[in-house]
Amino acid sequence: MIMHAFSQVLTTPRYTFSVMMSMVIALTTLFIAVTFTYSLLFSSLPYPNSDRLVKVEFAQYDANDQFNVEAFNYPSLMALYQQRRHLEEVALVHYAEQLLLSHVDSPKVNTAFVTHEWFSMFDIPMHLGRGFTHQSDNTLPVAVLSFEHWQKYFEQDPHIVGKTISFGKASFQVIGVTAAHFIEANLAQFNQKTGVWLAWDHNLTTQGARSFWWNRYANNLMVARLPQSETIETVSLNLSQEMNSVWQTNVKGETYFDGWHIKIWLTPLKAVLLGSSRSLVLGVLAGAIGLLLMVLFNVCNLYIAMLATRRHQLVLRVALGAKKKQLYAQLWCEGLLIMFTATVLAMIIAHLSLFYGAPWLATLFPHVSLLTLSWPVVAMILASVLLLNSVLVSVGLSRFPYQGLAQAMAGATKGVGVQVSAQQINISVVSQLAIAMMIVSCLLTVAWQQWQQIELAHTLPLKDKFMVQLSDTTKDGEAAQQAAYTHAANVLEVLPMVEQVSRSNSPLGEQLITWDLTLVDTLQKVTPLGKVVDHRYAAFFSQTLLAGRFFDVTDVQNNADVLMISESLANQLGGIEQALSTRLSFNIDDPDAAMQIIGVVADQASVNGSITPRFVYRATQGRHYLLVHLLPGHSLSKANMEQLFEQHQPGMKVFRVQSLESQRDALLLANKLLLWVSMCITIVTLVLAAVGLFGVMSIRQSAQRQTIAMKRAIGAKNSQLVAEMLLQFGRVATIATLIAAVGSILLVNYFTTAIDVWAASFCIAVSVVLINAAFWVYQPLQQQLKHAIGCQLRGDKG
Amino acid sequence: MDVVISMQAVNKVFETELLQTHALRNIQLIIREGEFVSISGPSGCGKSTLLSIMGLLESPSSGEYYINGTDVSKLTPDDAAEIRNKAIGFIFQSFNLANELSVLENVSLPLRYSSAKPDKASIKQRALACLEQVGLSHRAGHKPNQLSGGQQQRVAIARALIAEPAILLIDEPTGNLDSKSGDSVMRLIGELHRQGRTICMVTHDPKYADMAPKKIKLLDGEILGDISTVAAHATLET
Repeated sequence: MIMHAFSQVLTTPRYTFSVMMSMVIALTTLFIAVTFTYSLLFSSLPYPNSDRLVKVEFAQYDANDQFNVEAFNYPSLMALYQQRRHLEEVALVHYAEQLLLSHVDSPKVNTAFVTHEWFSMFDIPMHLGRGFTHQSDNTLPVAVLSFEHWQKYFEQDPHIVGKTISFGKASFQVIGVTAAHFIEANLAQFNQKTGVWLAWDHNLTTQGARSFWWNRYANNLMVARLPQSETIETVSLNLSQEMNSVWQTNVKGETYFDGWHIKIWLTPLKAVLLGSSRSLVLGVLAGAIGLLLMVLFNVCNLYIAMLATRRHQLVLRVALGAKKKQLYAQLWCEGLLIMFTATVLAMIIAHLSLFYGAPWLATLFPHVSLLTLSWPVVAMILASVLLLNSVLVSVGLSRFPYQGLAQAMAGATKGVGVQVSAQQINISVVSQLAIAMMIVSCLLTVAWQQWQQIELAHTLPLKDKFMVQLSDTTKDGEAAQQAAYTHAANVLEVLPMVEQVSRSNSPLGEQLITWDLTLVDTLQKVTPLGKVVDHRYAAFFSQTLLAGRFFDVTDVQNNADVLMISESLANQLGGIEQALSTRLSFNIDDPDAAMQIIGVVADQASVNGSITPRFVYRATQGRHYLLVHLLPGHSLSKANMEQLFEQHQPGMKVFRVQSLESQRDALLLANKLLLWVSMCITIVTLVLAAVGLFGVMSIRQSAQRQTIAMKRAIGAKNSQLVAEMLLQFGRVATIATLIAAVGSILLVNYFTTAIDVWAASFCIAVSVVLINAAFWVYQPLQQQLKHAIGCQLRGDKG
Repeated sequence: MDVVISMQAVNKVFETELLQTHALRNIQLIIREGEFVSISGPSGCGKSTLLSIMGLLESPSSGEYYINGTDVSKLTPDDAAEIRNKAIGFIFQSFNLANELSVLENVSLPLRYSSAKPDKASIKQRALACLEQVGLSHRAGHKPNQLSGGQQQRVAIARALIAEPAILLIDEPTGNLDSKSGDSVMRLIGELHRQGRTICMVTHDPKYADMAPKKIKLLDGEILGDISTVAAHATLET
């Protein structure tokens, strides 16, 4: 039977190819989407009792009970760590990028200062030596290398344990190497890999900051394991009460904090690691299901059309004594061959996509190393495919009643081969169109958002500009270090290929933080993105002055209390003119802390975050960050910078050199990925819609073949028949558009986009889908109109 | 009497990559206004092909063909459709009614495609009149599949009459009917002839072929000759 099924499948190559391709596309998407959903949302993290792991967060609320900021101050963090009440286990982590100075290349390494509980909490497996296991490992200068870094920077030295490595002035003794298969829970940035774990007490929080109860260090994070009997709500409440009491005691006397309080939030670690990816995962799953529904309609239509072409063959089998279950088994085997092949192909493509796409996926999803096809997912999809095949055969045979087949033996080559009502066909077309319209309009909205972000990011003048991050650990004291960085800037500035140097940080990405500022006159709070820049920054990025003036060299040298703001922020403050006379302060209780707005500049795009963020700039000489503008045709690299400082300023290490264009491109990676994926799925959706509509309209035209021929015979012109077809199509298209519009309105909240963008995307989607559909609806009719009327009336294929 | 159909040296050859089939050879045929012509012959002799060419459903491979004095051998598809709509009324063996349309709508179809674009009211009036003529006005709102085979063929006849065509082309009108219904339909066709309609009918049933005063026999695509008779007509009426 299998061999017979195989030969039968080969005799219908167009049907086999269409169904297999449709199924491969849908199943590949489904495999990936279900793997994402299963791995990221439903399966447990690969750590002991991971369902009880939480991130502990410290939230400050002002006197009006308004949330102010979420970040631990160091004493609160340590108090909570040492107290350990209500929590089974607590671990601390402080992420930092550092130069591995003991290595000949001084590479930049992602480090994590952790308490010893970090190793037990995540059950970190070891390849060599041991992890942090004792209380003393918090204070002793000890380090654990990741397997990758051990391979990359230590040539897999089997005797690495006991050797010393150094970051800046600090040296650490290596006590172990983690195992290769360890999957890290990185709280700083998903999929970022820690290269070296260092003892907590050596973290980079300054000594001064370690005693301030109102200082905020977002770098210091806490993870805990809840006791088995406790809930997140109970522990949050208890910890909030106790820690608020401790905090209130220690900020007593600080009038700024009068009426303020803190709360301890506990968030499941899985939710923290997922972040905003959760909605993206659900979006991908919804899209995949939509695509699958389209494909199911398509396959069903193609299947019925295929059975229609084989009607005579089936009738013959019945006449020769084939029983219904034998027909069913034969068709089931044929379907299974196609479905199974499509499933295997889809599994392979999905596996390769997940494997080779991991670096791309890492920009969008956490824990991409967990994203592999798992047995539950494969079993679930295989079972669905088997069920689908069975349903398909049942539906197909229900259209060909056994008695009907037998009776039809005499006239099997004439008449209508398919028993599908016009209503069923219309429902199928409406469903196809509505689903396609909704999917395409969602995808176009996503693509438009990404395109807009990419386009705006390219309006920033970044050509020939580089960001340089320096590190000088040989100088003690702020003044000496500042002098060393100033000297380094001077060294760069005199180079013939350098046009300009700004002692500011890059305008892109991760360095941007929100400043909590208060209007001195009205006490209104504003929270723009803050940036410390020098007097050259505005010219460096061709900022347009709308009012007032830019910073000058005196402002920067004196750290004057002056600010420049962007137009958006000025508008928030009541307009450009009014903003110029406004003073802002970080600490409203300190009259000397007020800063005067002296200039308003036009808005500039941000690569991530909102399109036109509100910015505030403060005049300050930068420290170890430099921006270098080169003359056209020149380039900077870390190697030639190191060589330069080796000659002119030994001791000055180059932490990072990156062109701002490459920095922008790296930040836009996720946007570009989403843009391309959206466009690809749009095309796939249109292709699937085309295949489906062609299939269903072929059935319809097949059913109406003689009616059309009769109409032609009684004098209907081809144009009149096409007009009739378009009128019928117009009716179902209108219904489909209305359904899609309702569906789209329900989905609009999922996308944080302007209604006009959404409306434009929907209109484009409707137009594209309908033009595509009209063409493929017209095709089967056009084929019929090419045939001689006489042949069609006689029931010949023609 | 005016000549309605005139064929001179009409040939029809079906060609494939491997062989040529001469379906019709050197057909010479004239049908005058008011004539009732039957075409008969064994299966595969070319009856249906001849009727298809007469009805402009297919074009001849060579030869000249005139309808009402107009050369219709080489028409554009739209011009052919126009002539089919105005000058020819078809009645098919398998009725070819649109099951999704009512009887009235089926009968109205030719006028819907007419370039004269009559208004809806007059279309309906004409359709009802045609149904009245075939005795089915009381079934106007029914769907074809609610009617018997004989009734469906009567609807098809009404549809063929609605545009007042110059000739009715009838292909095996009783092929799908029992003998009682077949006789009934043939009586109706005879009545139409007596009313002055020009009719050309393909049939393999000698009884019905004999009804036509002018009989044409086809064999292997060639006309063997035509025999005029009135006897059979009288026989069926009794």
